[in-house]
Amino acid sequence: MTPAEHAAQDLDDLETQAITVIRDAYRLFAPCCVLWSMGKDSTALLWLMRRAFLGEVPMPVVQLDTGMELPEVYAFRDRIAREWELDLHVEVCPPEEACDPSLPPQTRAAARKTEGLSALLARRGYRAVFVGIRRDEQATRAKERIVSPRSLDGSWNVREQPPEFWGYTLTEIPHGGHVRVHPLLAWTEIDVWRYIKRDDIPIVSLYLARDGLRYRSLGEKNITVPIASQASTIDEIIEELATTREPERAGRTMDQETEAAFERLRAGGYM
Amino acid sequence: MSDARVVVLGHVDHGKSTLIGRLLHDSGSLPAARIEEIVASSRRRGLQTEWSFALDALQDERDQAVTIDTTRVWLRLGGRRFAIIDAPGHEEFLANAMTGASDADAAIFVIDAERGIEDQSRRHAYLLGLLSIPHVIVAVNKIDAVHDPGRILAAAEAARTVLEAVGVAVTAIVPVSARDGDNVVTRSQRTPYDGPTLAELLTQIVPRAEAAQDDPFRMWVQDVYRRGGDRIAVGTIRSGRLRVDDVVRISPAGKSIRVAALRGWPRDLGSAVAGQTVGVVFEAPVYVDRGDLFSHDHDPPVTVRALEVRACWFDREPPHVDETLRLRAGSADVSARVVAIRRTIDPRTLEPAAHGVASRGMVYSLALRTAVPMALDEGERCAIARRGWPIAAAHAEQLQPQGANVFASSHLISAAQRADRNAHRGLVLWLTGLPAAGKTTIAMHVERELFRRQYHVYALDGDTLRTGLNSDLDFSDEGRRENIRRVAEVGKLLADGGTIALISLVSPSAEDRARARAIVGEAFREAYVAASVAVCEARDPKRLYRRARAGEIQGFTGVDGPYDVPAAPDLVLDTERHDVEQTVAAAVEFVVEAVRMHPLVPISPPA
Repeated sequence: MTPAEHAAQDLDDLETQAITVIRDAYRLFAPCCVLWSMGKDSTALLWLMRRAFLGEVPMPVVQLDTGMELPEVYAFRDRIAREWELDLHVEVCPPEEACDPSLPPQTRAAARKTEGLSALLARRGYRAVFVGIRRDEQATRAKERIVSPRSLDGSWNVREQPPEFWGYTLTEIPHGGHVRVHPLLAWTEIDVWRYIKRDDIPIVSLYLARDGLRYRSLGEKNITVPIASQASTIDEIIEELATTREPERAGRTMDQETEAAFERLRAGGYM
Repeated sequence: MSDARVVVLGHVDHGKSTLIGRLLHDSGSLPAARIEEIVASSRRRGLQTEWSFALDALQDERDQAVTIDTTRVWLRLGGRRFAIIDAPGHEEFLANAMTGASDADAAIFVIDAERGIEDQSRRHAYLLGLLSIPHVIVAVNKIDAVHDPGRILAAAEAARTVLEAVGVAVTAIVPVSARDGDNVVTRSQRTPYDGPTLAELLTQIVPRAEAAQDDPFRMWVQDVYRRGGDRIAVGTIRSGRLRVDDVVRISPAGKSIRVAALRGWPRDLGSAVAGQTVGVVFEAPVYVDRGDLFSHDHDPPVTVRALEVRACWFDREPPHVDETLRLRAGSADVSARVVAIRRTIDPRTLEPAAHGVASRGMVYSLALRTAVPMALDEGERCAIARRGWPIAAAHAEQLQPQGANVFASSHLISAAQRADRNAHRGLVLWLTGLPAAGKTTIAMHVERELFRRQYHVYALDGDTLRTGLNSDLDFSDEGRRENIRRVAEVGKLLADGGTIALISLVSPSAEDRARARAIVGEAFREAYVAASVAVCEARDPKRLYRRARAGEIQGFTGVDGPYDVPAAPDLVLDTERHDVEQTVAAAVEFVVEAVRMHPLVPISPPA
């Protein structure tokens, strides 16, 4: 096999694994929903669902809205929701004042989504939530499971996680709780871009460099900053990522606050 | 080039995380900011630079200097990308180690040069054997602390011996110092060793061979989707290949049927191979569901009710004889009773475990009996679960084919002879309807009336059968399905024997009732005992609705469990609009007509 064939095979394997996870969880856990931030990962996740379910996304697509996304992001949301015929639910998140005051300020701003999600779960009774997180994004996410149980209050008990091996995952939901389903967990940032390139999946144009700046990770405008970059096409992004030593979430200010801030955020139910 | 997945295993404190941290640092994979963070984080805890902090992300892990859960990091060596999986070495976290190791292409087996093989080294060696990971590199660590080269050699040989005892071939042995970096990425002069460094060994790893396309075709059904008029069985081809027009055998049912189309999105496929996901459409309607296994006709899997599994146990609670567990193979997930515990092996000694030893990490050979037939292959990789939680990784062994040594006998008396003697034919009247719709009341009254009229009749009540024949079944979907299957089989025997069987069973699923009809054959009649949920709930003689509303019963038909109203029942008995006397009379009239003997010669009309 040539290196190019190897890479293609690898992407096929990741795709197959993700589709398998999506179909299993959809069958075993109902009702479910998928979170969509309009970022590259959750958009790729919606694409994988269309593949898994032969052209449709048969569950509500939820955006946890803080009102702080960039205008391009909202425009992208509305266009894709229409073109892909998504059952879009916009969940307005509670204000920052409603979040744990002991968290550092930027982390606290991010915690609004946790509050929005737990309100949504309490109201609509979803038993499984599909989320497009990946292990390589952040060290505590690296400890995640593909099917990850959450207790009644949405919290994550990282010390008591179910084993996952040979494709076997948790199949029952903890009493009164829910599960997070992470089909992209084994993917890396560069895999997602190669997949977007391969299948020509639409993305928000903010990922591509303009005037020497681009968003590498797309969060709300109050807690994300663009990075210096000349990558103005997807090919150039893939090239850039092959050599960079900077972490993906360098532009996410909340990640830089304190050593354990992100762990606390996740233990409390953040994505 | 694709990632190679490398798991790092070994006893706690032999330096796994430090070795990975060192690999990350020396291969230039750590961002400058991250290095600063690690140095600062180490200093805060009064330590010299602790490279394991690159991995141990949880506060507890750093504070206690122990890896709790598996994690993975990515690094680049020689233009190639590696996913390095750190598995915890502590006995308590064996399940986490399994989670990290199960899909690895290679393993680094870390052993402390001074301390040599310890308990967890043996357990992890066993895990490597269980997983059959193709490349295993032994890293003899902490050579900075050992000055006698003989000790390093002895530790290396001990590791080789332990691994070979469980069938693992060692690819290479390299002496390293994770603390100082000797032979990790850069060559060391500390020992006479002049072989490749750990990094060089890693770059020689070839990822696992592509999924077995030349093996017999297997695909587990994950789900069935309805699109337009099609029923599409979706799944991933595990081995072999499938083409449109192939004849597929559906196990455990054992039916064979031709493939009409292979659905995909955005486009359909003409054929598919191992590793691909497909949606299979058959040329005719056929009963398929999650847990079925597809193969070709000439090399089918084995259908079993009894088998043995060799199970590596992760749970504190050991297996118990007569306990009911869940056995999972592919998408199949069935109840299985532990018939016997044949052997318990301690992987630390490879000898039978001492009495009373903790179950976690032990390897049990269990004889199991499944509640329903299950299709699988010898050596199948299974999971054992309690309450949905996987608690053991197992290999299936000693499959006992169902029906081997069983031969149906032929009767010397025909159905016509029986009917002639009884003056009526046998029948199954299947009364379906919501709980408290009146099914059993009607059945019992019809039974008394037919008995009075000299008919051979017997009423079978679903609840009564649950106390005896079906007392081993639960109320899960699978338990209900099996309950219905058995009742249908008993009904068929009674009808074959010439009896009228009146079966009252909620049987909410149209698919299950269709299966009952298929089992019984032409003697089957479906009677829909109709009453609204509100009326049934108001009756509620067993107070079941009340308990379901209170949340004490889950999935109760009519409350939070669906009921498929029969689309074309042979008889409708409306207990809301008619009283017992009227519905019984209607049922009796229907049965009498259905079992009437049709004379072979038409009676001539009166002249």
